[in-house]
Amino acid sequence: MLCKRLFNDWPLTFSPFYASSCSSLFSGKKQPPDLSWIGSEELQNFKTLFISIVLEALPFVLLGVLVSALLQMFVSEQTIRKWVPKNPVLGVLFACALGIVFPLCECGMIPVIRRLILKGMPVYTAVVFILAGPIINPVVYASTFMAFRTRPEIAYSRMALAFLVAATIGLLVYRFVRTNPLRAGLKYGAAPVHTHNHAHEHGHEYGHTHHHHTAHGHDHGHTHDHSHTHAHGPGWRGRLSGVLGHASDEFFDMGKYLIFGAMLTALIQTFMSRESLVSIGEGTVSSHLFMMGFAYVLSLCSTSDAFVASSFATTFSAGSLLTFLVFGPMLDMKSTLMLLSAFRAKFVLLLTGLLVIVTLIGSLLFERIFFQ
Amino acid sequence: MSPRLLSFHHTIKALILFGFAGYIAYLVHSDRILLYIAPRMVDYVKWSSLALYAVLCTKAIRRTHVPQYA
Repeated sequence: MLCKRLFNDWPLTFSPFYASSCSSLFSGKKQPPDLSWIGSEELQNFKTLFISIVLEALPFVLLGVLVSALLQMFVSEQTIRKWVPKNPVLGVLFACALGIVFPLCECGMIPVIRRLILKGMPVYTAVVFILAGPIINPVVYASTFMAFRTRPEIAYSRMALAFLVAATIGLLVYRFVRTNPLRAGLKYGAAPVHTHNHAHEHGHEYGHTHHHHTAHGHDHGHTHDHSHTHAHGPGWRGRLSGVLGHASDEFFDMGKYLIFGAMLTALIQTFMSRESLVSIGEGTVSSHLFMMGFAYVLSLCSTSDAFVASSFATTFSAGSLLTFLVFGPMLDMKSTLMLLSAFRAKFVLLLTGLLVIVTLIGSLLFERIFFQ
Repeated sequence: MSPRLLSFHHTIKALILFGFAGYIAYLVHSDRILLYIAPRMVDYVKWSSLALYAVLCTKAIRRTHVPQYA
C-alpha cells in the first residue's frame, strides 16, 4: 500500500527501481519471525528515503564546506567588510545577486553563511543570501526552465518572487532585528578566538542533536575554527591541509544536522498519508498553504524540486506551484535544523513566520496579476 | 585532552568518513545507487566520495601528528 503510494507520488525519481527492489526483497527470503519487521515496507521506504536524501545533499554540503574552508583560509575579514555595501538597500541587492556567483543550493549555503557572518558580514545581508541564493542562480533557473518547458512564465516568476520575498525580509530584518541572532557559541565580528579545546567540542558533538528545538543557548565549540591557521606550514601543502582540516571539522558540524533532518523527513514521508492532505488543499488559499507544508516536509534540493513540481502541474494551480518553488528552497525541514546550528531558535522562528506571510502574499499577488 | 585521546578522536572521525566514502563506492560499483538518486546526480555523488576520501586522508595524517594540535 505504502509502496504503491510512493510509486504514485514520486514519478520522477526512483519508482521503477524501487518496485524492482521491493519485489526482489520479498521474494523467496525466509526470515525468523522475530526479525520480520526488518523486511517491512515501512522500514524499506524509510531506508530508501533516508539514504536518498542524504546522498543527494552530500555533494552540495561538501561543496559548501569546502567553499567555507577556502573563505576561512584565503579571505580576510577586511575584504568581506569592503565587499559588502554599507547602504542597506544596496546590501540587500548585493546579497540577492550573490547567488549568481555562488550557485549553491541551501544545503551548501549554510556553512558558507555561518563563515561569512563570523567574518563580519551583516546579518540582514546574510539572511537575504540564505533566502535568495538557492533560487536566484543559473543552475536553478535552468532546471526550472527545463521542467516547465511549455510555461516559461513560471521560471521567470519564480526568480522574480524569490527576489521580492528575500529583499522584503532582508529589509524587515535590518529594520527590526537589533539583537545578535547567532547562537551563544558563535562570536560576532570574528575576533579570532584561540581556544582549541577539542575535549569541549567532542563532549557535545554527538549528544545534543535531540535538544535543538529549545533555545537553551548551547555552546558547542565552534570557536576552534579560528585556531588552525597558524599551525599549518606556509607552503601550498600547508594551506591545502589547512583547508581540508577546516572542511572536515565543518563537515562533522553540519553533518549531524543534515542526518537528523533527513531522518525526520524520511519518517514523516513514510508515515504521513498524503491523500488526506491533498483533499485538504482544494481551496485557493489553503492550496497555497498546503504546498508550503508539502515543500517543507519534502525538503527537496532546489536544483531538483522543479521536476517534482511539474508533476503536480495538472492538479494544482500555477500560483500554488509557485509557492512550492519559492518557499521550499528558502525553508524546509532539513535546512531548519541546519539553520538552528547557526542561529538562535527565536530568530529561526521569526524568520519562518515572516517567510510564510510574505511568500503567501507574494504568490497570491503573482497569481492575480500574471496567471489569470 | 591527552594526545592519545585526541588521536582516538581523529581515528573515529576518519572511520566515519571512510564509512561514507566506502558506502558510496559500493553503491556506485553495484549500480544500486540508482535506487536512491536520480541518474543525473550520480556523477556529483561519485565526486563527493572522492572529496570525502581526501578529507579522510588529512584526518589520518593529523592523527599521526597529534602533538602539533594538542
